[in-house]
Amino acid sequence: MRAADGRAPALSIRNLSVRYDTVHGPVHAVDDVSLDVWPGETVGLVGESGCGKTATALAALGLLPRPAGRVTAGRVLVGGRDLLTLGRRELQKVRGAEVAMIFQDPMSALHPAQSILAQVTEAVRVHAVDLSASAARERAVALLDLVGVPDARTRARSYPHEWSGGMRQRAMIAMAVAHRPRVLIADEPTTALDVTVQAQVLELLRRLQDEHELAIVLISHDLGVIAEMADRVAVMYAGRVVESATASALFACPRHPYTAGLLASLPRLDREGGAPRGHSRLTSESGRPAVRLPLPPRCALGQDREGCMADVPRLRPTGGAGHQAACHHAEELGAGPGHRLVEADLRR
Amino acid sequence: MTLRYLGWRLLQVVPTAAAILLIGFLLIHAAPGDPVLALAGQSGDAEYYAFVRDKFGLDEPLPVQLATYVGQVAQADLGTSYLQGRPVAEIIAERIPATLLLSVTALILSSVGGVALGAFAATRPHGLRDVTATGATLAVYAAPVFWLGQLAILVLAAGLGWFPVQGMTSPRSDATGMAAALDVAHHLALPALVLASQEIAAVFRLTRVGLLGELASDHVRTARAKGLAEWRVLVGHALRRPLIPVVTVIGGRAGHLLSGAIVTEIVFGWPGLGRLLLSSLQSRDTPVVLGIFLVVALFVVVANVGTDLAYRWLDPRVHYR
Repeated sequence: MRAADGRAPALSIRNLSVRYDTVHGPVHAVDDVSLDVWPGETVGLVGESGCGKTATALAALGLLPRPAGRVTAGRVLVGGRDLLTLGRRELQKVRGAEVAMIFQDPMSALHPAQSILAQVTEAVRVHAVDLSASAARERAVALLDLVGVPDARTRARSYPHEWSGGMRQRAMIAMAVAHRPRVLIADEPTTALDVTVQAQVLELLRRLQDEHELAIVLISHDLGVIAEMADRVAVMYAGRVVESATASALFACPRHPYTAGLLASLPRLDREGGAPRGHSRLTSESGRPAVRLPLPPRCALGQDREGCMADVPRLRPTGGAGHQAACHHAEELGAGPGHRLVEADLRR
Repeated sequence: MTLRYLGWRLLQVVPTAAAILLIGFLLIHAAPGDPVLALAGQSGDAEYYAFVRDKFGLDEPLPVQLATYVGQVAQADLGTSYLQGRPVAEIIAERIPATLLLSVTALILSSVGGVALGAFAATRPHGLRDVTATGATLAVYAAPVFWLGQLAILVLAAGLGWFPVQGMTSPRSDATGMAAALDVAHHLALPALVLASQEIAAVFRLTRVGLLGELASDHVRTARAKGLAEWRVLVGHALRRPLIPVVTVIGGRAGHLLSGAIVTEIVFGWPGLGRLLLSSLQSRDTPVVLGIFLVVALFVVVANVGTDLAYRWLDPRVHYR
């Protein structure tokens, strides 16, 4: 954790709440989430589908699908300004310039009927209006070169469907880093890619991060990716952060039963079938997570612990070094068999 | 490649034209009534009838008449009008500008208006403006042209006096230059709007539905995440794919630019091809009718080729072989 050097966080999400209006009524997709990301740091945001990871990210940039999604509370601070209070034009100046975002599926995230070059060039020009068209194209080619597209000048004239998934994600990254943003939000950037390509893309992100102190929010449900990339991790469940810690502390000693369950759910080669002793896997649950409910229905500890239903646990410090967990029994868990799950097991 | 495609497509004109001529010729001769009666009147003077028959070759057997006519057309000669005694090509050429002016104006109104209205509605789906625009276009679309045209004349022209009732120019007007152009524009407004009303609903609905999908798509989210202003997201990214079916509709209509305005021309007394067709049919002026058929058919083929080329421009992934 690099918080200690006294600098302000590159991105600070404070008490963010997001509501989606659906046909089944309102869903509290994000509930009082706070998150800090310091320059040069990668914060992993993990959790199952529908837990609010992506909604958090989209809300930060004002990209929630309208009119269903709405921020109901909170602040998103970048460079001393609250993005949520910015006008449309000011927000457009922040997007792509100070905070950039890449998405899960680079095929659908790129316009299918425009050449890669046109799309990267557009990303260059949007915040550099004085740049001539040809200079912008040169810059676009240089960016594609930077992110490791071979023979960028020629191949940039192709269309997204003519590129491989990994190359397309590189093009997305090229657009995202065109203006050297402080923050890059990467929403499942490698989920749609195969494993070798995934490693290359992660390596590229790390290189770009080192080159200009990029703060990365890495959203993933792949704990292997998180273990490899993240300095700190926030685990989300049902719209809330239930545990937040350094990556090593979280993987070595989870202090929330959901995190422990997630770790235990990983398929392991060295143990035959089933969960490690002392943990049970998360029981499956159909539909969306029960919103505004604590874990108990799925809690490995929880069957007899009515306390959680009466007194919903809030995120609180436990175990030092910034480790926080929203569980009344965090300390018991931390002392329990969770520590056997060492981070090394998760690396590929 | 594109040139070869273009040449091949234009070559298809020949069989199309031949089929049109054959069918048109047979249809006209299958219709009840004798052109001689229309030409020479009901006098009953058998000698004069025979003279007319002989003059226009109407006493020949049908296959011979057809062969003669096709032979003429192959030499780019559309023949002579029975009624006016002037070359058909000349008569048609005179009428084309008026029809094109009306149709093209209507097409521009409906495409630009439909796309703009669709974008206007789709950016606030299910809101007041969306519901209003959807309802209004549907109502106009459901109304038949002749009714809508007469309603417009009754209310806006005859009633309120905002527009002239009939024709393309003011009678006895000696205006020239800009004043003449404005006079024509004044006459053009109502018929163009009425004609456009038929297409605007289709364009509107296609644009709206396409945009609703695109505005929620990942690549539009990327465009927004880049920091593009909303109108650039709309015009540069979101509108592009919805325009493809719009081009199909517009391209389809473009073929009917010469023939689609018949009812409107009649209602508004517009001196175009449609009115010429009607009067020629009534007077059984066969060469003029066939000439109009041919010109309209050629125009349809050319418009279709143009539509295909427009697809390629909108979506460069489209290739023609």
